[in-house]
Amino acid sequence: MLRLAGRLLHRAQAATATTPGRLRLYSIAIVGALAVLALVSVSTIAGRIRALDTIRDDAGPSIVTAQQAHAALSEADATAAASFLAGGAEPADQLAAYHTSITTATDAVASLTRLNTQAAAAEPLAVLAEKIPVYTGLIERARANNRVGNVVGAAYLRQGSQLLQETLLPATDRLITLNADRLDNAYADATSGPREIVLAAVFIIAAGGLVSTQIMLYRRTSRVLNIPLVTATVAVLFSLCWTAAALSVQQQRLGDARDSGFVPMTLLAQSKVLALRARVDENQSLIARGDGTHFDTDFTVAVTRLGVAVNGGPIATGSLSTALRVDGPDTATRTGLDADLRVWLVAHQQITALLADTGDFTAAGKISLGAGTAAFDTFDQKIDAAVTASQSRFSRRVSDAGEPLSVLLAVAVVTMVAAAALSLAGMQRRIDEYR
Amino acid sequence: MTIRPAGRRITRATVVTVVGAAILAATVACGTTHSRLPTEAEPLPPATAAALLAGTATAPGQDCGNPRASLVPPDPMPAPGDMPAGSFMRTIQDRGYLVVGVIPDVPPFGIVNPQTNQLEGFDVDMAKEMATAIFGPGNLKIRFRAITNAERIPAVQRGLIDIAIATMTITCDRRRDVDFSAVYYDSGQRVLVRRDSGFRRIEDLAGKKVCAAARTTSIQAIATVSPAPIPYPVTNVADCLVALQQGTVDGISTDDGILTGIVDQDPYTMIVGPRFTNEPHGMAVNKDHPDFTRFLNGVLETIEKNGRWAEIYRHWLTGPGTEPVPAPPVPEYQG
Repeated sequence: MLRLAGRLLHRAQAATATTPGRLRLYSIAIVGALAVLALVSVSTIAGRIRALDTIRDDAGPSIVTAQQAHAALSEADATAAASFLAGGAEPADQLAAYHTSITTATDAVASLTRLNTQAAAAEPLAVLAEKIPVYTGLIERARANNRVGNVVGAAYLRQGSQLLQETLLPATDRLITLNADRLDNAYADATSGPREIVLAAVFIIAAGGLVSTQIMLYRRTSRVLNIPLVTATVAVLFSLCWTAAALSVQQQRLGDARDSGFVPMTLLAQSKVLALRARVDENQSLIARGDGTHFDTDFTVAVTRLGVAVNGGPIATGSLSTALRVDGPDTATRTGLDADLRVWLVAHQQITALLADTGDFTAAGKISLGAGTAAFDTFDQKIDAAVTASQSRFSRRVSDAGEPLSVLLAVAVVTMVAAAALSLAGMQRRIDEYR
Repeated sequence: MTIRPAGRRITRATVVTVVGAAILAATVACGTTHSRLPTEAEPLPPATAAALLAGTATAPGQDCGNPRASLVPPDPMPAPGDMPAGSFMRTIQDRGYLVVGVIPDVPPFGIVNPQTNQLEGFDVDMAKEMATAIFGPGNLKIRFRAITNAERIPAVQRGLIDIAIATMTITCDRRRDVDFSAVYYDSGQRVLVRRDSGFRRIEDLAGKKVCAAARTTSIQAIATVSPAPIPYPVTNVADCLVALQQGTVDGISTDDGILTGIVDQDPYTMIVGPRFTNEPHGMAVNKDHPDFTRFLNGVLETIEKNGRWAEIYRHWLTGPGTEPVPAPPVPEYQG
């Protein structure tokens, strides 16, 4: 073994002892460095492309889908509660609205299951899959009893609502938080990481190797320029500049996807969730007939989080008020949302005033079902459109961010191959001079 | 030889460029972009249904003599619509409406009629008689406030309601917190089970879960049965039926009048065994208004004498047959 190693060492010394031998060694080193550079470039770019895919296809849609599941479940609960306000057999349109909400929620859970294969998502997804049918079962029992005038119907409605509020909605919230972390990590992966530092280092080594080889050749052969080697150096520098430019364009577009897509999208979806929560509170409080102080308190909490005082005044730190301050191409889809919300709050204030004045829960329930529902539906439809607009903006901008990367991938591979070929040719010319 | 220094300068410049560009690339790459969920878009945790008006438990075993004895009514009774100045009834009359706390899901005492969305029942009709005695006949000047069993005493104490007419048993413990009217309905506790369960009396349910509303004499009485069932408290009696239908509990034990209201909702249940407690129902009034308690007792005497009490009883508490209406509870007073 030792003798073999000694013999190899001896042969290497012999090979580098002559100038052509040493030049060949330089050739191998340069091509090796360029190969490593190509590999690191490709893996960096591919890593970023993968992270972008996660942002656009998995984490981003998951967040908004989980928010939609939350909203749809709240909507179902609001409708079920409102049907009880109507008394007796519920109106057909209310029943249809309830079924639509449940279908939206189960569809959302199906998409979330497809998009979330990570272990942490298994528990909340299982909760949703198991408990949504239990919830709908309780609501159907409430309906059946209510239809025949059994007051136990209200108890079933309460139990269903409690299951939804305490088990189902927190499960959707866990999925939101989980995917928010996933998205943030993917953003970091798509814009920086250890790979980029390695890439910069390999660029320095490769370019430095090429330049020092030329200095060496200049000293040994007294020829100032070796055209192929100079071209190879320029190619590497060109690739470096292209990489820097492409990565910075990608990063800038990703920042834009966040600012004009992700931020308004999540703020608006959360605004819808909060508005629905306030609406459920209003209905529950009316059904409770004076025993709903905690619903009234929660109403105020939800509306305040939206960024509107119960009397209609603005609050700067809410989800809706923040969303309305976000600049960007889709602002037109959002303007007026606060005004629509205020129209609904006016109906709510009428209810509060009527209850304080006459204590007539039936008349108050009629306002909630009439003017209240009309105003709320206007707000709801508009906010849905606004969420969809920023959602597609987000997806588009993330796709845009990926564009320079696919071009860069081609540029990096072609320039490295060209640089390697040119270096070999340049070195060969000098080696040939020794024949 | 003369070119060399110039060449070195050129290469040095190249090296500087390369290093510079590399640093540039590195800086671009290192400025990580984050995208956290905006604070305002973070989920709002669910509201914790705080135990509202949760009163403190009164220690049992206090003796107050005859718990059924209430305050003597005024003689003569003030005329409707003309309450004496300075009385609490006058305050109510001037306010324009009487505030009554009722439990909305205990048929036949208090129910929201799903067809009309209006409150009705034995306790509700009693409340209407009281309002009529204050304001006189005509438009009903009354505001009902739904309460749970646990909220009855705190709501009276805090003045959120003028009276609780809410299937409330008069006990010595409760008398320390509120005043009670004379007995307006005499009841007793029995047990309701599933028809096919084989249980025939409360003792058969030893070690089984038996449901009643929290903060009621019913839930306390379940624990005193020997051998004892496991008390299973819920907010309202209606929640007991949910628990029974879902198989969470094996029985419901409370006033038999309330149990009758449950059987009406679920024909697969039945009431078994004898009454094992006496539950005299009274109206709870704030201790600051003894004049109002006296007034209520006067109204009770009037409707018991003029047959109105029997009419209300027949409407809500007798079955479809021609079951006789019992004699109204005999009023007992002291002081």
